[in-house]
Amino acid sequence: MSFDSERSLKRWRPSGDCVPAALFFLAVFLYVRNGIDPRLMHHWQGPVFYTYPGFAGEFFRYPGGFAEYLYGLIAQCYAWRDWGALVLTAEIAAACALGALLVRRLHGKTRLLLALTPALFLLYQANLYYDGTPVRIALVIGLGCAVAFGRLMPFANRPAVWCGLFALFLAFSYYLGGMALVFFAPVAACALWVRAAPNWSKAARFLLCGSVLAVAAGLPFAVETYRLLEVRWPTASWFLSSDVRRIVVFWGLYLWTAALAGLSLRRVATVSAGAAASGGAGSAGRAGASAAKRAQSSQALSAAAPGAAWKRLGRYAPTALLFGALAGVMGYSYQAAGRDRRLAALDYFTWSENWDAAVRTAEALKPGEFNTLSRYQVNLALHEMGRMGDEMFRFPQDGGPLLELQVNSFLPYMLHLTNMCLRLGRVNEAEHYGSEALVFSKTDPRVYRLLALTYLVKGQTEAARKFLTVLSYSPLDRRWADGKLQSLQQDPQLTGDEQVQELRRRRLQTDDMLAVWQQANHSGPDVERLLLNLLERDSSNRMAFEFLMGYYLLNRDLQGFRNLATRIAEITGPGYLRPGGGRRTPRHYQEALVLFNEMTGSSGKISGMEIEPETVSRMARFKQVVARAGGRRAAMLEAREGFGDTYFYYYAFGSEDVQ
Amino acid sequence: MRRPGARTMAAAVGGAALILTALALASRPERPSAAVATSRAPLMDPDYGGVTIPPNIAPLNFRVLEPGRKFFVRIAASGAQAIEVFSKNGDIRIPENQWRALVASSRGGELQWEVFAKTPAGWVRFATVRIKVAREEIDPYVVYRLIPPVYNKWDHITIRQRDLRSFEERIVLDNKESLDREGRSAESACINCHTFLNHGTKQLLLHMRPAQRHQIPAMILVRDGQARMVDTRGAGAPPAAYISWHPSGRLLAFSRNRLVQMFHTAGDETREVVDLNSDLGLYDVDSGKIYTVPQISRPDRLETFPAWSPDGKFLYFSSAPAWAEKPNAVLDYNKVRYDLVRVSYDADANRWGEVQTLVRAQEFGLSVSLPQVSPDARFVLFCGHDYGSFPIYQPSSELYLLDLAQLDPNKGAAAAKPRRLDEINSARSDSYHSWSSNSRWVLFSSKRGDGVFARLYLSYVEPNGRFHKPFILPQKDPRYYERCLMTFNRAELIREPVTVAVEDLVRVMREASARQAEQKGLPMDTPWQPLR
Repeated sequence: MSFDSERSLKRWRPSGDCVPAALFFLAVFLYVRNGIDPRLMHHWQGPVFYTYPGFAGEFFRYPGGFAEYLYGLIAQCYAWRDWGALVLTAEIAAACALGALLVRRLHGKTRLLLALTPALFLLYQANLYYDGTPVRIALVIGLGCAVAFGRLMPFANRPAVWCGLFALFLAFSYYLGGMALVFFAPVAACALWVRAAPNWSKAARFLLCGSVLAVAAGLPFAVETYRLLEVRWPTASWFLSSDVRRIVVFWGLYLWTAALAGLSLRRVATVSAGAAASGGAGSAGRAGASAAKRAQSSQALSAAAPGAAWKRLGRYAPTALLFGALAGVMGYSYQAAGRDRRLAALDYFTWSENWDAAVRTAEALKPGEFNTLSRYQVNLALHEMGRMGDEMFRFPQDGGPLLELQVNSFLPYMLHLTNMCLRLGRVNEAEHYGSEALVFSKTDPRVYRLLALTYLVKGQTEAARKFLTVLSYSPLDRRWADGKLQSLQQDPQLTGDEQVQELRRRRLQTDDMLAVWQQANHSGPDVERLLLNLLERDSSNRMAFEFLMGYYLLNRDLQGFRNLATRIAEITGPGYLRPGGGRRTPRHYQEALVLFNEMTGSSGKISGMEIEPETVSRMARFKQVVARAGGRRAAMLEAREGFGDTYFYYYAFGSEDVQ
Repeated sequence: MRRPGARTMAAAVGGAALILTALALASRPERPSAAVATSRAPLMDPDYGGVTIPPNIAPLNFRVLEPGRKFFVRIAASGAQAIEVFSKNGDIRIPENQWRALVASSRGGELQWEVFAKTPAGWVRFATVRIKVAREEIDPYVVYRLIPPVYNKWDHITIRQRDLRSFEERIVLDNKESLDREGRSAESACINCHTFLNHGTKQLLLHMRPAQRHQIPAMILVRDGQARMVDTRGAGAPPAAYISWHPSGRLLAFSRNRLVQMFHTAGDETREVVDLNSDLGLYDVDSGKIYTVPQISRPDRLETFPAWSPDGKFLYFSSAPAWAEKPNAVLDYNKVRYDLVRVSYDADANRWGEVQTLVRAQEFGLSVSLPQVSPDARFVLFCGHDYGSFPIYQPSSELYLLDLAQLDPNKGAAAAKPRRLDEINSARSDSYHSWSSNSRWVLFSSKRGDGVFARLYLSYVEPNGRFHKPFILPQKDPRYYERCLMTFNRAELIREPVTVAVEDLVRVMREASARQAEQKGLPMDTPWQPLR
């Protein structure tokens, strides 16, 4: 076998392999675009990339930093659906192309199944939205180094030079790709051995083969352990991780490279046996023998009459197996990552203020998938669309409507918490939680953006400028940041910035200390007081109003609701206006008021609130349904169909899942 | 493919040479010609105009903020060769070697900066910027923490040492990346309150808090190159916080504080730290004994911020009436004001005198914190602010100077009139100061730039106590501070580099972290919790 044989390239028939490969990657592209959605990957991982001086240098200080730097750059493309899918598919294709090149050189012809196997693992890994490990880049670096090593070896005929070259590429792949070492080392080591070993004795070959196997088995552990010492920061571990899904990917890819290496060993064994039998030696002789053997085999195939058809069919078996495996990986990973995908989508659409998409995504969530964060997100989306008072009880509401004011090491939570405080007008809390997020998010531009806006609202424009200046070096945030900087230049008070002006109107002016509340026998911040303070500052603060209404409704505090409802006349927005003009009262508020009147015997009107006859009659029907059902559970089942999205239902049964 | 002919090769080489020559000519520095003079000084960032610098300071790189396509700066001093710097974007990076030679030869003299900008209408020359060079050098090193603005959680903390004569910055200790000899890290322990004996590094102290809530804070003492842990707790009292070395190196004064963190819902500064209770204690370095004396640990007073005089005969500190006994007393946090007091101490006899009030908060109208006596024992520099004891969180914090030479030993406080240092204060928090060992320079932290990130400023002090215009710590990149989102914290001037082996520090920190708490974990409202 010759690593430098150009004849092996000439044997490649483009038309035979290109079509299935093209179809394969088309399927990958479509799945990435529609099944995974690179925007969700980008949002979940928050890849960071800046162009300011010194940013790149931080990565080049440690092995594998280059791969992480490159990933940060490439992953910016994931912010777009089509472009991101194309880029991600190209990354996978690049890794497979290098693998195909190695397969061809080691085996003399392309084996599509073997060459495209890494794509299956990489595709599965792409479903792990949270995993920003630069495995695709590391694989390309490792395999690229192996290919380059193979190409350079023929230029020298001395084993010492080969070993030196091997060490050089080893160090190179380690420095650039960190764990790329494990993708380079087995293939290159075997290629080295293939060159040197034919002249060795059988015993020496056997001994070395065993050593290579032993080293290969321990290589991932050794590299990762040492690398973690070098890198020190908790860059995600690969082979020693407790995350089973990640381990499957990394070990799968490693074993695939080991299989490639095994090909070269098998080929040497075959050629060596042939050389021993013929008494010949030399790579040309071995290549000739294997070529003759394949020619014989080919002739035998065509000549055999019975079973020839089966054998011809058998040639397509690997391709069929490949596409079958692809379908299997897609189906399984789509199903397995379903929860992550839905939650990531809800988070993404909420963050990008695509409220309609956020609500539709929330409708697809399973009841068990609602948590504090997702509940807040759907409530926020409904609020922004002016539908919170009409539809909040369409979704499971089990807990407060707001996020809890406490530090959480989950970055998406902190981003939304900071954003929530800012929207409400609790600007100092926004600064507090945004700064906490800075501690563990390091250089995430989303945190910078929130803090920039916070300081603009506070009037601390010099502090805002710093964050905006850094953001102007981020490819995706540059335009926004430069726009704000320009606005500051022309209008230092930002009088023309509607968002800033509105938040300044809402901003609390009365100082209070949260710890005081804690000492006043409250286990945490007093949500009612938090929101009432805001309404006292700005009575038209619709977000404070609606979330406080939600708070009362969720706590079944009808008296609190009734007291707050007197402010409804000051609230404007699409939910309070009829299409043809005139005011309307959101459905849940009507339902709560009807309940309140029923329970207290009151019939007093509230200015600005109108109870429609349909609400009264719906309550009457609800009571009938509940009354005729035998027992609570039966009543829940009976009433859920027609009243599951009403406040009546929630008041009576809560958000308990009847299933 | 045919090999290219000799003619083709020659043409290619010639063409490349032509292009390179053209590029070189295009980028050649251009000296100003026929410049139009203006009477105003150029807009610069940082603004170094009119400052006084030590003769051993790193180059004052800066940006010219004037409009222009090209910029030229000439830095000259009488009798010395001028430095010329060219720039296309306004960033002026002064060559270090030339700067060092020029400044060293200009002690007691003046540098003149001529700044030119090329506009479409031609060169403009601005009014000369004059910078004085003091005769006295500054201590060559400063040690500080570089951290994000911390609210409640900490994660990655580094203590860094900067050589003021260059731009070299070295990490002395990293709570994540520094390793002991076995390759183990400090596991994100909080490191703080580095305190050096007599501006040297042979003896120093470090305060640490492990990353697990149930673990015990400790002091790391370094003496003669060896590090060891010191447990300053006693009878259930919290461990040491603020620390001061007696100049003999054999005694430490420290404070024990019961700090509570709160957050404002309105106003520019969100954070608040309140000291509910505090006392001073003493640690005998030789015997390891921890004790106190009644004068510095009265039950009806809060005592904090100990600071020894250079001769060791007085211990200065802040003192306020105790206030937090009743429920919800924290509501009165903004009514607490500290006096500046001192107590005499005879080290030979181990005898303490009576407490003498130097500045009464009630008369002064402000709270006094962080007193620091100048090494020549002439002055006390301290922070004065509206209330409390955490000046970095107080926009009202300003620096004040008390001239001890004006003290009447009989009248004490009555004769002491601290002077507000209007020549260096700003509208935002100015605090945490450090004297140089020759008493001619002061380093302090200031949030004057944006109110959020603290930066380090240096100011020259005349023997009569007059301060000169402060200047910001120079950086290699003139735009460094534009995008620096970290705050410089707890800066101390020292005469020599830190030489203790970081492996020993980490080893001791790990030993301290390994101890389990005998008491319950830190209360929820204790400031500065570990991230995880």
